[in-house]
Parts: sequence; structure tokens; C-alpha cells
Amino acid sequence: MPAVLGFEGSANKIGVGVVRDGAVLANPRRTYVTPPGTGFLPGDTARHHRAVILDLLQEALTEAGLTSQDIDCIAYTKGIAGRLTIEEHTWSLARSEWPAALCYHHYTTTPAPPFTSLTFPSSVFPSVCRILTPISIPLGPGMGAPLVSVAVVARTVAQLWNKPLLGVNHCIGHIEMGRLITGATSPTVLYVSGGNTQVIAYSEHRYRIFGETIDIAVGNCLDRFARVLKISNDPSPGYNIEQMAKRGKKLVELPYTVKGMDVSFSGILSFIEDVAQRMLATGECTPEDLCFSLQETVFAMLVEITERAMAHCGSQEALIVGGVGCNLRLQEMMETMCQERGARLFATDERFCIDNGAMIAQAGWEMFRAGHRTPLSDSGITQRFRTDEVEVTWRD
Amino acid sequence: MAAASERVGVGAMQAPGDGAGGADGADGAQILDDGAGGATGSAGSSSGPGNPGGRDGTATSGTVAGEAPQVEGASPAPRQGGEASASASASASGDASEKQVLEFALTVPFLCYVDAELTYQYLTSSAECYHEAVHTELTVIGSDLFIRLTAEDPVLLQISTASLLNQLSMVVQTMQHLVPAIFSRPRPGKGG
Repeated sequence: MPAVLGFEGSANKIGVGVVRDGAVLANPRRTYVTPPGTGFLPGDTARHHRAVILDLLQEALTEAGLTSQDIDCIAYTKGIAGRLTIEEHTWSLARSEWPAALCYHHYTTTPAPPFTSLTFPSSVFPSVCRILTPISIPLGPGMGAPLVSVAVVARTVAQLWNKPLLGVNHCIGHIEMGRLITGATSPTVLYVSGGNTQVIAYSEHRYRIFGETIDIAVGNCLDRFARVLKISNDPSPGYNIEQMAKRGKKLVELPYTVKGMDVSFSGILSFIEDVAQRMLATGECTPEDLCFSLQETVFAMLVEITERAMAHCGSQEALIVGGVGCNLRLQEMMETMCQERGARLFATDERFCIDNGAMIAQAGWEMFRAGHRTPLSDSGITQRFRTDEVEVTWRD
Repeated sequence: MAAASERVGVGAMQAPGDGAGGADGADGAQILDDGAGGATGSAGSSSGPGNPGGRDGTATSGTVAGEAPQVEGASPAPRQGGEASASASASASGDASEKQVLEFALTVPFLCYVDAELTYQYLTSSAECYHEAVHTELTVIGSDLFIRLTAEDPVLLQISTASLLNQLSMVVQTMQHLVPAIFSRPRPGKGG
């Protein structure tokens, strides 16, 4: 009955969790909240994490009723999704124009093949040529300083307690916690947060990315819009947008950008940032209307790509994970889609949707039982740790 | 002085960048708790060298940008009290007017070799290349940990120094938190 201690602190939430045999024994968390109209910067976030992490560690052990001797393994967030290389970005754009069957075939051989080895149908060439001009490559999330701050403590604890160390992929932490809490067996996963937006399904020992954002995450889009309206960041900008959206009455037409299996949010953000002040000043709409319109538009995009993935995989289960997954409107829209397909929707509450230590502990627990270990020499962090890089040896 | 058990780790330090907001700003040196020896680091002071004893000045393995700098006035004995120093020295290549190699050096006295070794292992494992521009040297002699960073780019050196000091501080705080008894012992021969 191994007990795993998990550390998470890749963004503005820091958590320490304890999991043993499928039971969450402790899961305390702290959130670094910045003033309205601002976001959180790496240095300040890391400073916050350093100030509270040892207290959180003690809190977790006390809550779980365990001591260092009872802990079998230390898990920490090694990295979180990551940026696309030019090859992968090209692949993702090309993928949006390929027949779904071809996409699936290539996604059984992960990671995505290098650009030079791809042969594109002639219909795809125009988009490939566009991509080869200099563009801004979408940068993945994963704040280095906070990640390092947490990894420092995890590694030191592992050394002091003489326990094995496990570096965990943040996304896989979300997925494994979602599976644990909801009991979903093999769902199509919609992973939506401030730093990631991916549609994922399990196949042949990897969590395959069927679709994703080609620029910013949906949560980032919502958070940055909240800054435009100076919406409070307490408890989170996304939560406050959700509450305001409930009072919205008018649907403002916004750019809807779905590219095959992928989505794009930078355009809609630019658009709404541009028109928001004008429309509010002229009284065309209220801030609540804009919140409502933004949610309806981006969530519809997410539902579309999830449904497409479910149709392709023949999946009867959908699981929402990530901080944006707490949004009840998103859950409602996904539920409607699932019902129309005769599928089941699974979702968790804010305890496990939002970044937390227990999800890292749970993924670490699975990995530990499967024999994974992270040597000290390989115990750094990475800001580019794709979901499909991990060999999922703990599943059939 | 205790028997000199020496470990030297060399690598290039990576400044923790981030995907969202640019590189982590330098927090400046942190003053470590006295339980760890009260080591102080400052990238801006010009007091003396930080070349630790126990190293004979020969180059150790690892990557470095340009020639390994020779620190002026290097002392063969390890410093007491954790005095940090940073000094600019001419490149050993001889063309002193063109390149200046900046250095940050720090001595961290621990209560025992085990603590120094644990910290050394942690910092060594986390040292990564950063465009091969910042050269990091770590040495354990007795219960003292010697740290030396060199770079030609002052910004990179500042960022790397801040990052390393943050990590060092966190390691020491964690050790203090989890094993407080160690830090309450008087240090033999160190006036603790």
C-alpha cells in the first residue's frame, strides 16, 4: 500500500497532496492572487511558493496522519505540456486538413514524425507553405521559476528521507486524478486550463493528443479578457467571468476558430480586447454580455473538437479536467453533446479540477507501482513536456 | 581542519526562463539562516577572491565560454563566515581589453559534511547549460560548500546567481524544517 507525496506548483497554485491506494489523504493548496487587471509573473509566483511550501508540506502530513517513514515516494511536477516546435506546429496545422482517419493512423506512432518525413497531399500544400514563413510559434506554458521552486523542495525531501523521486507530467496528473475521482474507464479527455487546451485519448500506452490549441490556452484567453475588464482575480478570473456570464443577456458575435481538430483563441482574444471598450462605451452591450458571449463561443469550439475526437474514436465517455473544467456552463454544454451521442460526461469539482498536489501524487502512485523512478541526475524541470512523451506503462 | 574530502561539480547554470513572462528577475542575494552558516552572497561586491582551497586551480571538466578565468589574488584557504565576492578579471586569452569575465563566488559553511554533500548533490544535479554562457563550479571541502559562477554577460551572471541562491536558500530551509535537530547542534571548531 504505497503512499505517495505529491508537489505541484507550475502556475499560481501550489499544492501538496498525499495519496495511498486510490484514497486522497490530504490535499492542501494555496493560490497566489494578483490585483485586478494584472497577471502573475514567474518571479513573484516563485517567491510566493517558496514562502508557503514547507508549511503546506507539514499541513499535508498532519492532515494525512503520516510521518516521513510512511511515505514511499516523492512525486513532483516535472513539466507541463509545452511549446510546439516548428515541425509540430506545421504538423498540427496540416493535421487540421487531413482526413480524421489519416490523423489517427499517424497518432499511433508518437511523437509526431519530423517535418521532413511528412508527405502532404497536394490539397494541404497551401497551408504548409503558409506555415513556413516566419511566424510566432505558440509558446507552451510552464513557468520555470515556480517549477524550480517546487522541484527544489521535492528533491531535497527525497534525499533527506531517502525516498525515490518521480517527475510527473502535469497533464497526466490531471488525467489520472480525473479517472480516479470519476471512475471513467477510457474517456476522451478535454484538458482545459490557463496553460493548456488539449483533447486527449489513450491509445497503446500513450495519452495521444488528438487536438489542441495552436496558440493560447482557453483559460489564458479568459484570464486575459478578465484583465481588460479589470475583473477580480480572487478566487480566480475564470470563476468571476462565469458568475458575470450568468447575468449576460445578449450574444455578441465573436470570431469562431476551429481548424479541424485544433482551435485558436488568440484571434478571438484580440478581437474582443479591441471591441470591448468601444461597445461598452457606446452601450451596445454590458460586461456581462461580453463574458457570456466569450464563454459561449470558446466553449462551443471546445465541444466541437471534443465531439470530433469522440466520433473518430468511437468513445462513449468524455472527461473534463483542468481548471476551466470547473466551469458549470462548459460542463452543461458538454453534457448536451454527450447526451446527443449517447455518451457519458465525467467532471470533477474545484478540489481536483484546479491544480493540486494530490493529482501529482496520484499520477506518481501509478508510476511508482509500474516501476518508474526519476534519478537525481534527471530530476530537473522542463517547460516542454508533451503529454504524449510519457509511456503509460500502468495501463493496458 | 577536517580531512579534505573534495567533490567538484562543474556545469553551466541555467537561468529559469518561463513561457509567459520572460526570464525570472534576479531577486538578489539572499541572506541564509545562521543555522547554515550565515553565508551571504552578493554579485556586486568586489571584496577579494572566492577561489576555494582544495582546488589547485587546474581546470575541471565541463563547458565554459572562452578560457577559464584566473581570479586575481586567489587565496588557497577556504573562507570562513561565508563571505561572498565577485570580481572582474581579464580573460586568460590575453586580449584583456576586449572581454571581461565576471565572477561570483560564495562559501557556505555547513554543520557537517553530510549537509554540504547533500546540498552539493542537489545543486549539481540542477545545473544545466544555458547557452554555455555561465560556468558553474561547486566544491565540497570538509563541511564547506564553495560555489563559483563565471560569465562574460553580467545579465546572465546576475540571473544565474539569483537562481542559484534561491535554490540554495530553499534547500537549506527545507533541511532546517525537516531536520531541525541538526541545525541546533554546536559546530565543532567553528565557534558555533
